[in-house]
Amino acid sequence: MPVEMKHIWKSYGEQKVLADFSLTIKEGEKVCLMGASGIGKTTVLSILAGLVRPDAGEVTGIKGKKLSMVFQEDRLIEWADAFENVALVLEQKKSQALWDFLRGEFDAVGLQDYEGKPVAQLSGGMKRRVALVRAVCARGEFLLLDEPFTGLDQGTKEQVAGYLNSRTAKNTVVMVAHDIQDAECLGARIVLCKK
Amino acid sequence: MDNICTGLERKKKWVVYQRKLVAVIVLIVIWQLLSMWVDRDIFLPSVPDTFRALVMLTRTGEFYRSVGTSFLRIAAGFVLAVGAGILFAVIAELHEQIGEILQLFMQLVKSIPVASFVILVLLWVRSARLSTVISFLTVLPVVFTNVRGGIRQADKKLLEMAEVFRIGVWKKVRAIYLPAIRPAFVTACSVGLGFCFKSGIAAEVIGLPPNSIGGELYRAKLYLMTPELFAWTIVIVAVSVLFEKLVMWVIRVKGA
Repeated sequence: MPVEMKHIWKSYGEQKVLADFSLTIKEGEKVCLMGASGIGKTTVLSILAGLVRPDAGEVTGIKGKKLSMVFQEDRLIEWADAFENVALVLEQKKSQALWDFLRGEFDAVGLQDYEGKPVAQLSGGMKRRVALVRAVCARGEFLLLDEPFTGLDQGTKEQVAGYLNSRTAKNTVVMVAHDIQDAECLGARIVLCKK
Repeated sequence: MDNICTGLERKKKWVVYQRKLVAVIVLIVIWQLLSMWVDRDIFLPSVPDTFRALVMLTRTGEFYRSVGTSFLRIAAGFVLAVGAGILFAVIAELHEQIGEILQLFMQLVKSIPVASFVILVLLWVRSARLSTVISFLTVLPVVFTNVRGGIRQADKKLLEMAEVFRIGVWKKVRAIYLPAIRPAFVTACSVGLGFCFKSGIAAEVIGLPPNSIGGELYRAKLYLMTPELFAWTIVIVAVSVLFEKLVMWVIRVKGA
């Protein structure tokens, strides 16, 4: 069942962000929202995530779907380490097997020298990858990625894109990006947001 | 590197202890000089007389009974207030209308003078329970206000993250709420501990329950035994400080 955003209107005070915005996302499709800053791309993701209520219009097909998200900011538990941060969103109980599995995931995004450290001590790029692994491991059928490659160098970006492609082949993904290459990395349909 | 850090920390701690020790000595010297200037034990006893009275007190079984009983009564009030304060703060945050009622109640409790409470509570409970009720009522609004504030300080963005990932209540409490509440809770305990001993003992002085520090204070005042009065005050301060250290240690160990 596709997710549909129909004639969405949203303002923050006097500032109109979305005006009659519509979008259809087919199941398993990868969509990349592009456009100038402040055009409302993050608001679209927030509406899909159920964090922001539109002033008018409706969203159908998303209710009951399991969501995962990489936020614009990493939104990690700063005092906890990378393992704890990912384990927090999982249903499995903590075990050595889970830790070994997560170690494999962190290896796959090229994360090193992170064990035993609270994420507050990790660099911006490392935190970003922890947030990505968290979103992927949560196994949401609907994945929302808000500028997922922020703070990553070209090499790491390619590695992380490969990781995302391999783990989310069957998932529906809606991504916000500024760089057209980011959309191409995931083979996503580009949706240009305009005023 | 670790050894250097530990060495530096140890040196810093030692400097702090030294400063505290100097402060205590200076205050004792000022006290002694003042008592020599006043030259009347009944108004301001000398340091040696007070410590002599303290030593005499500690040689009686009654002293330990009074200290133990008062401590247990006041500590019970404190523990109950901490539990109830946290519970009420959570309820207040869960339900707006109940929150308003609780907020108003706490404001009322905070602004009513302890003496009024003591007299009122004496009509309701036996004098032996008085200090427990009074320390409870003194600490309750402090814990409630601080914990409620802590809950409100919880990171909204992390709460949104928890909502998207459908993180369970207990995980959310442990990972997001507790770290937000902790600093406010520690402050509440520290402030509340000071308040509960002051008000608890004051209640005992008015209610005169058997085997109590307040009762002994009253007796010392009645017979103008000022050195004993000072000795009991030192005991109250010591018990209050020790209890505060104990509670802070528990919070540190359990909260780590």
